[in-house]
Amino acid sequence: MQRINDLNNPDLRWEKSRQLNIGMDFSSKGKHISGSIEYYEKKGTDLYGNTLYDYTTWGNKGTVVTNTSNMKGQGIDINLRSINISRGEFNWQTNFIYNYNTSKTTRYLSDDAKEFNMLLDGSIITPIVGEPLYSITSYRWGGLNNQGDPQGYVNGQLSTDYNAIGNSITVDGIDGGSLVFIGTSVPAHFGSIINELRWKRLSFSFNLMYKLGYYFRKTAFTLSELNGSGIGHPDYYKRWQQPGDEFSTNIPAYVYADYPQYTGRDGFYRYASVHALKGDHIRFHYLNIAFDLASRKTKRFLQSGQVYGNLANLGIIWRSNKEHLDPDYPNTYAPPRQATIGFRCSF
Amino acid sequence: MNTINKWAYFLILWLTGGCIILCLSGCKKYLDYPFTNNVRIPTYLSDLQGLMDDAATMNENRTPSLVETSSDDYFCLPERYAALDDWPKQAYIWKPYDYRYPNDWAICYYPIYISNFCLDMSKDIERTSGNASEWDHVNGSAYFFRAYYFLQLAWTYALAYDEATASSDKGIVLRLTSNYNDPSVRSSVAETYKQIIQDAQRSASLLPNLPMHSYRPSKAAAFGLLARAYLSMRMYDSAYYYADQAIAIKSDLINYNGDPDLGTLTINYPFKRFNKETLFYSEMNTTGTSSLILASRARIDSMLMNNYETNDLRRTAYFTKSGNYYQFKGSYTQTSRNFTGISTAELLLIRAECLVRSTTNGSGNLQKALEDLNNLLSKRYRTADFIPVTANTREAALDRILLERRKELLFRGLRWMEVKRLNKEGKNIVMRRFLDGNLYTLEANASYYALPIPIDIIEVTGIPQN
Repeated sequence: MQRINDLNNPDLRWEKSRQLNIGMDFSSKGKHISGSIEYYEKKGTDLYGNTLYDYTTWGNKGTVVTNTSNMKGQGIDINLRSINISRGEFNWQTNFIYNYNTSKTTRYLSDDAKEFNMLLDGSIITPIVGEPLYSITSYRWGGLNNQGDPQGYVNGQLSTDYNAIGNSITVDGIDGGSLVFIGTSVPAHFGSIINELRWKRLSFSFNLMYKLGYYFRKTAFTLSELNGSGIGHPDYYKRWQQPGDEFSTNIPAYVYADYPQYTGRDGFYRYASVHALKGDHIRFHYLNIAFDLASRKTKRFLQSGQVYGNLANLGIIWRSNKEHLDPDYPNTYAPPRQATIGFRCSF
Repeated sequence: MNTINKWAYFLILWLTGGCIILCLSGCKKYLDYPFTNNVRIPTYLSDLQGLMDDAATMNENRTPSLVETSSDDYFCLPERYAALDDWPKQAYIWKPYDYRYPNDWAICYYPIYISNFCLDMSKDIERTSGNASEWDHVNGSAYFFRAYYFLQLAWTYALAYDEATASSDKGIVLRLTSNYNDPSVRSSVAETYKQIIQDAQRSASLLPNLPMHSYRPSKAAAFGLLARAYLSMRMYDSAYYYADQAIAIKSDLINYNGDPDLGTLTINYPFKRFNKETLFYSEMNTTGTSSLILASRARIDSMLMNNYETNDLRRTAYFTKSGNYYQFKGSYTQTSRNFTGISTAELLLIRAECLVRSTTNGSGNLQKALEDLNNLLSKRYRTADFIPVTANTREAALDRILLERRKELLFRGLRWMEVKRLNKEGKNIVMRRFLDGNLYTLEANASYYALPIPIDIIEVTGIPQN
């Protein structure tokens, strides 16, 4: 038995990209401060993307990959090392890494961009010229009504007709007023700060990582997951339970999902703008501690030797979202803390 | 020392050069090789046969469901209807609806693409005495599948064939190559049926009488397909001819009184899959509006149900009681999916109908038609008290044959075409739905009998909507 997995498309061209870099290395007298700074500009043309096509020709997929778009991006990479204190056997260094990057769609080749599902989650190139290359959009949120049902917008009016809301975004795309453009799903600023302290044979270093200026989508309490798959959600406890609750919560009432008026309610609520949050955060990435065993006395039988300990994934120390979520792992558990102790030597 | 160094240098140079040459030739060979792990470019007849032996693409979960959900053999329980999505809701009351991928259109054009691909590729393979039977089988199968799904699409998206208007009525898109760049255009109904018949006839001339498995097409299946096509066109002489040819090859019937292909009649799905009546196997898809006809929602039309007498074994084999109504459990797929393939029983009924309609040979044909009918019914009614059907007039015989057709072939994707065809014969069948105290009707010969084409196809191709 054989099967055809993909259509041969002779019109498909390679993606092309051009990049311009300007950089500079610098160092102060005595090397107290040194580092590099680099500016780049990137242009991509003929990027791959899914396009609607006449599936009468094949039928097995609703879209095909074609050269759909162009992009333009720029950014700055800065790497800064400073020796803060260097006095006798004590030494403190800081390494500061900063990256800034921004990119946007400059051309979308397919005329039918409007026909796409405009509910974006950053997994495809944004089919809107001038917007960030990977972005998040959401249903415009109208709060809960006095029955505890989530409300969206159709033609500028509050609505709980989820089919109509869905149709409105299929027909009118981003312009219809049922959707809101949230922003980029890729951090604009990111990098780390590594501090290293050394006293005699004892050294100590730790890394703080940061990501700023982007958005992510959190999970939602949905009926289908609870009823259909038995997957609970902590939001359940904060749900709407009686009239008046709509002023203090955004979590809808728990209802019997098979009633016709609830068709599409989960789908709307999950992608509503209340679930799009700022992703900015600072993370305690690792902490190392090491003690050098090799000294002048031991040199005869030991070239070098080290006892070390390492703690990794120490968690988030600051985040912009108030719901205590890890923006890097919105759907799963973050990797657990890790501790390592070791001994390393050479003779 | 110096000389040794020189020699060593030479040796290294020579070895490196050799390696480069070796590498270059190796690369070339590698690039020529059409295999990468499990992915390959199909080039051999066995590859093409393999593509069409992929039942999940060519047979299963495939034929249109909108024709069944739009038909009147069933009704949807009102409280279940309320929980449906928009599209099935609108389809149920015959309201045009803008729907998109995935749908019957996409699902049926997929095996058509595979057929065209096989036909295109086999053009580059010479037919020799060594590969003749394989070559014929590949080409015959491809023509069959193309015609089979063209006919399914014509039943769904085109009006019934009418000699007077067929050349101007809008037919389906006849895709005859696998070239993705060929634009899609709608043919006329006349062109659609002409292509179907031409393809089916070609396949009949290339295929063996009977297949290795009913997933595969055969001469008998091609004759059956031609009988179906001509019946839809109301060309009863030709339909008779091909039904007769198919029956001459295979005429096995399951005896519902007891048969190896049959379990206890009362169980769910009592019929064995790939049973002896199955000339060609296909299933209806479960996409789009098909949620309407899930056994949990759909109940058999009570008027239709009343036509199954107590000694009609189909009453227990096909149906199970649920509340005040009955639901269907008699699919030849032995699952909840609907069987839409070609059965010997269907061909017997086509032959019987065409015999009655034929004006030649006086009452001789009427007797022969009743023989066919009674042959089938004797396997469907309890043997102990089966009384063969008699009819004095052609009209009486025809009415009974048409009724038995409906009783025998429900949930096979056939009723929609049947109603279109019979309305062209002047039967004036008006479909009705009752919902929340409202009555919805679909008038005979309404333009809606050519069902709406997906809106994204209309937008991308610009072909006219129905």
